Amino acid sequence: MSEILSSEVVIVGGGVIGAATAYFLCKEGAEVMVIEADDLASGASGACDGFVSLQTKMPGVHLAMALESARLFPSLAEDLEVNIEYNPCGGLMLATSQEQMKELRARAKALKSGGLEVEMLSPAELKEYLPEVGKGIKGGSFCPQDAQVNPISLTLGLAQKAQEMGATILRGCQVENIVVTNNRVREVHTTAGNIHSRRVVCAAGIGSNQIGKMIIVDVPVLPQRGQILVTEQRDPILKCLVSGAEYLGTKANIPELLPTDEEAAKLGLGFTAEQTASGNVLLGSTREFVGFDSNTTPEAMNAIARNAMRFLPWVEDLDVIRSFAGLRPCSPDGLPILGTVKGVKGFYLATGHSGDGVCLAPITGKLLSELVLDGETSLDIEPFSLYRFK
Amino acid sequence: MALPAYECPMVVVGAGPAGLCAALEAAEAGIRALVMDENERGGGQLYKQIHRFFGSRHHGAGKRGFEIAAEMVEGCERAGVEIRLSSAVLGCFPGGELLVDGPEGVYLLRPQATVLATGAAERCFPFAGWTLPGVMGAGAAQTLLNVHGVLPGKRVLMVGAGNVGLIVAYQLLQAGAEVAGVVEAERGSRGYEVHLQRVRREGVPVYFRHRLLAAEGDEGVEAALVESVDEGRVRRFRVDALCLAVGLVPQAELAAMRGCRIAYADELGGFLPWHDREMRTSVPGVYVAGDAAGVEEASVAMDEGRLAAVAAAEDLGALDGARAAAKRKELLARLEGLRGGPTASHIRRARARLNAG
Amino acid sequence: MDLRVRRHPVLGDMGGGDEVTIFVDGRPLPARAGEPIAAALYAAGIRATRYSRGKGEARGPFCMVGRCTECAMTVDGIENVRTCVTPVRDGMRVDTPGVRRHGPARV
Repeated sequence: MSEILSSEVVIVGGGVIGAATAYFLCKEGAEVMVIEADDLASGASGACDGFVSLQTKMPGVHLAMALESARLFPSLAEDLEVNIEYNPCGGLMLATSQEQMKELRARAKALKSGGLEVEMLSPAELKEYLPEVGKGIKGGSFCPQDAQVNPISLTLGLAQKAQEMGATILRGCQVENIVVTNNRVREVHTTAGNIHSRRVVCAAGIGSNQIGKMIIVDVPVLPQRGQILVTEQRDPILKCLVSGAEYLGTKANIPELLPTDEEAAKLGLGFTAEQTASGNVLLGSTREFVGFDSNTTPEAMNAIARNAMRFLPWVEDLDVIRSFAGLRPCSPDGLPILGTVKGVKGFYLATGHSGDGVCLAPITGKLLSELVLDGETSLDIEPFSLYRFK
Repeated sequence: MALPAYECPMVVVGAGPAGLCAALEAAEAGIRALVMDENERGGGQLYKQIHRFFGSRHHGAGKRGFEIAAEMVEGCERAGVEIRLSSAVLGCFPGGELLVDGPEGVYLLRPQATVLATGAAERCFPFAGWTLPGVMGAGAAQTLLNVHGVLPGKRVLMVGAGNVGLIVAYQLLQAGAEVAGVVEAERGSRGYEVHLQRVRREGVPVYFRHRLLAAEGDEGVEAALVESVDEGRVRRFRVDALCLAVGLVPQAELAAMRGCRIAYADELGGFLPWHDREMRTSVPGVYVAGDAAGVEEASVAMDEGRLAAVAAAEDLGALDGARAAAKRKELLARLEGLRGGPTASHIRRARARLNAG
Repeated sequence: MDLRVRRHPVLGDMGGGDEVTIFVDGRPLPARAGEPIAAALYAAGIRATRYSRGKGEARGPFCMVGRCTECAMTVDGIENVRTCVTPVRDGMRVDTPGVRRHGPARV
């Protein structure tokens, strides 16, 4: 390799987090290189739904971060040349029991005090959003600030805009080592050659643990599989995002909202539905720890379809045309891991988003850009520090 | 509620020439194979072939495709092979289960051996106006014509002068359509000389070194623009149908989903499940045959189907090593004969490369 | 426009069979019993089976074997039915989905 590569900042990972970080860094005039082992959005960002869901966030810093992120989406939709199919459609979370309603009500109160608009709806009031729901639905909560986006378009749009502003994107390029001398990142060794850089952002999703090992830091991120069914295209039939309270239960590990059915519990099954701009309905999803296996399984496909019919009986009339599975980068508490690491200057973590990557990408990119360039952030990210786990 | 699941010794996916021959060969070894096909009738693409086939008596030489298809389906019935029609295999999971959507509902099959004989799909390529109604695969035109008795248009332009393009162009003439020409980007035809001459004898111009630029029209094709590669001259054909005969692509999705190693061979249609000479894929218990294992002739597909069944029967213990070897020797010799001619040199090259790694 | 083949040199008489009537966007159309909807439409010169969701462009049968879904129409109220592999039935209602938005395509 004769050419000597160098970059002010190297971002490891071309998913939605890496792309958003590159975008915001480029906006501030930084020189950026994105290293992607496969292709843009080839991991979790390209195998997920498009929920930008605020009511599923934990009251507190998690919600505060999501609210900031939500505020950034409209301007991104405007600024990016790719149509990211941003749709501020609102989101509905349905309860199948009075216990679940009680829990949702308590959460709604906490979310409201955190600045989120949430409204509890009776089965009769649901009709305004969903003309037909399953017989067992006892009501739900509606959040008008929930929105949807096309995650692949978002990733590609951010990356394309970053590239336009001068970023270099190396696809099919693997990081082999990160050289640290005198407690500072100096070089990134890749299959495309060695890159001189004093700043490295790890946005490698489920690969973050492996990247962390290169600088002898344990990044506790595990792949969590989520399977999704895709139906045929239909004229608009879903006005807003829809999920079941069990989805939140499995996501945030809330005992009152966990599925009671044994098989559903095993699969970490929680109902989600959204209709994309092209008319397909995405039905989700599972939460399974099965290593790096991103295959779909017939058991989960069957379980997702049957579960969906509990909430929206009419999905029985939709043809499923394909299925896919993504591996979410899951942290021990389900919250992102953001910030610096001890003992290695110039290494930054932006990972572990655990299924909130799409929703939190804009604010993550913005905060990381601030952290890398100024050393401080406009929102306190201490609660997302790697060291909270010890 | 769990999906119903059924164990069985052998499932063949696809009731075309490869799949049906695999089932027949398996039956000879005492294995009752279950043949799945999403179509309403068996025989694969043979049922729309109305020309007489070449080859040897093993492959139904001198008969027309639909006659060969009917004979094979009857043979399966006599041998007690169950062919489940209108039954789409939606998935082939890493655990080996097949997900089926059929008249009985959705269910799983758990076979010990799986023969993937899923055939090929028509290749398409993008050009201005390619989505206009009236632009269709040559195979689609053949289905419309020979199975449903409907012309794809009154005046048709054929793109591609391989065997499929030449045969369908001739069949269009037979059925009463006009063929404005056959366009081919190469210097000559890869098809048989007899098919080329038959089209030329009918007065259909064959434009070598010409390429399709665009289709024009409103609610459907009204014209096609064709450019001479060497002179750059553009010719406008007033036609109401444009048929694409630019190759076939092996249907390798189920194999890929199962985790079979995928290889690439341009001469055989592109990406395909890697397999050895005996039609074993990289995954134990999964075999491949016919166009899904590389696009060739129907006669090749038949013998590949038999080879795959021999391997499966041997692996299942239904055929001893000596009998399997004897059968294999005969089938491989037949295949060598089918691939022996000068027009098959590229196939031989690709096969040698595939077998080497 | 009539694109039916009635006499075929190899297949012989192709004109036989019972006739049924289907209703395409409300208008009656004769069809041969058992043939796919797309064939009945094509025979009468109806090539556009739908208008694309994005640009409202005309689309028509491409593969005729149920693969490409370009021929998907609304049949008896059911959306996305592949008309190339769905046989006609007497009295069947076939509607063209989508809205035509694009004018003639010219290069």
